[in-house]
Amino acid sequence: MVKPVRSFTFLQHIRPRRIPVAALRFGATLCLGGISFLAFLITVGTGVLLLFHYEPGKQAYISVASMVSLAPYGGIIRSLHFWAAQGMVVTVLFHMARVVWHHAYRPPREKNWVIGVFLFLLTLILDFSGYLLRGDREGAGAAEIAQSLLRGLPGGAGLAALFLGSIELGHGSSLTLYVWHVFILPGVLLVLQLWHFWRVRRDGGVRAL
Amino acid sequence: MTELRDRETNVMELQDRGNCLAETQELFDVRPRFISIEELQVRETIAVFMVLAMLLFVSSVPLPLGIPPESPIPIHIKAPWMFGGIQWLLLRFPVPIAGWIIPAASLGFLLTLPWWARRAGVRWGRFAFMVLALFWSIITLAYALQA
Ligand code: HEM
Repeated sequence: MVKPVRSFTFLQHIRPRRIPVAALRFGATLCLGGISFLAFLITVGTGVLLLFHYEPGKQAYISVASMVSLAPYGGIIRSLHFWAAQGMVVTVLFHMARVVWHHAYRPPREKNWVIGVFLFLLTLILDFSGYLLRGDREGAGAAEIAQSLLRGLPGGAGLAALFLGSIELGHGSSLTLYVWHVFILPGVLLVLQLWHFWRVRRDGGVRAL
Repeated sequence: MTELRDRETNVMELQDRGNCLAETQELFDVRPRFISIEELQVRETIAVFMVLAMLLFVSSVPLPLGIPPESPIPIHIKAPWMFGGIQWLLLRFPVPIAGWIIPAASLGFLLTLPWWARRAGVRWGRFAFMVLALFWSIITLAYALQA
């Protein structure tokens, strides 16, 4: 007799066929983790569209301004990208508060809590890097502050160059920052999110109060 | 006749007891009961449409850009809202304390919360988290109002 092969895939693990009834209650999650992920997906989708028009470096401000007036649907895509990103920061914060309220960081979920704290930090940094990429005066000022904060650390000049590149006052955007914002930070965030979802199932699903 | 009525009463009593047993089991049944993931998918689809509708509504308002880089206006530093709290601290305290020590200590607190809440109790965990959240919310709001 042929033994049935138990196929186990990552997707089947994070999306099992049956889930506990209690986890389905709206009050169990307030949908906040799911909405955070949805906001992430919308930000990635609209961000890819923005790439067609955006130019990092000295042309940043002009490319954003012209995108709004020249590119088809440029204004709405930029708005969606911005608001989905702000929404993500807010829902991640509330998601964290929900987890604390339900004491859902207790064993065995403490590892997932730690992954969550890194997700929170990365979400903040990703949002901040987007603010700098606009290349306006405000972004340039914020880049200056970030640069001087990093330079205050031992080996800080190298760190500042690594994260911010050669940002001069008046030009918030740089190629280095662009690479962090477009590839590295979202990439790491995606991997961490998938790990986070995997752990939710590993730890026995959502902890409903 | 009376026999028949007695038998009926007995049957009803038995049914009552049965119902009662089912209810008691439901009340005290702590085993997780499972349901198909389709139930979740339906709710997720509704949530996706609701979030998209809200987002489209908010995004229909034009999003302004800041001051152009070559503007002759003197530089005005304005932190983005999520780091407004840090900027509020930077304006009042020495840079290493405001820019590194307080944010790093807050992050350290968050990272270790599960372990020390196990010792001090989850109620204290909740309380300390709320104090921290309130502190950051207030200074972020204070910066937004002054900027
Ligand atoms: C990119 C950001 C994040 C995403 C997309 C995300 C997503 C999710 C999702 C979908 C769940 C399932 C239950 C729910 O929706 O509440 C979950 C659970 C969980 N999350 Fe997050 N999360 C994020 C950030 C965080 C943060 C910042 C923390 C805490 C510091 C955290 C800690 C947890 C914990 C401990 C659970 C398990 C909760 C339980 O079992 O009830 N997550 N997350």
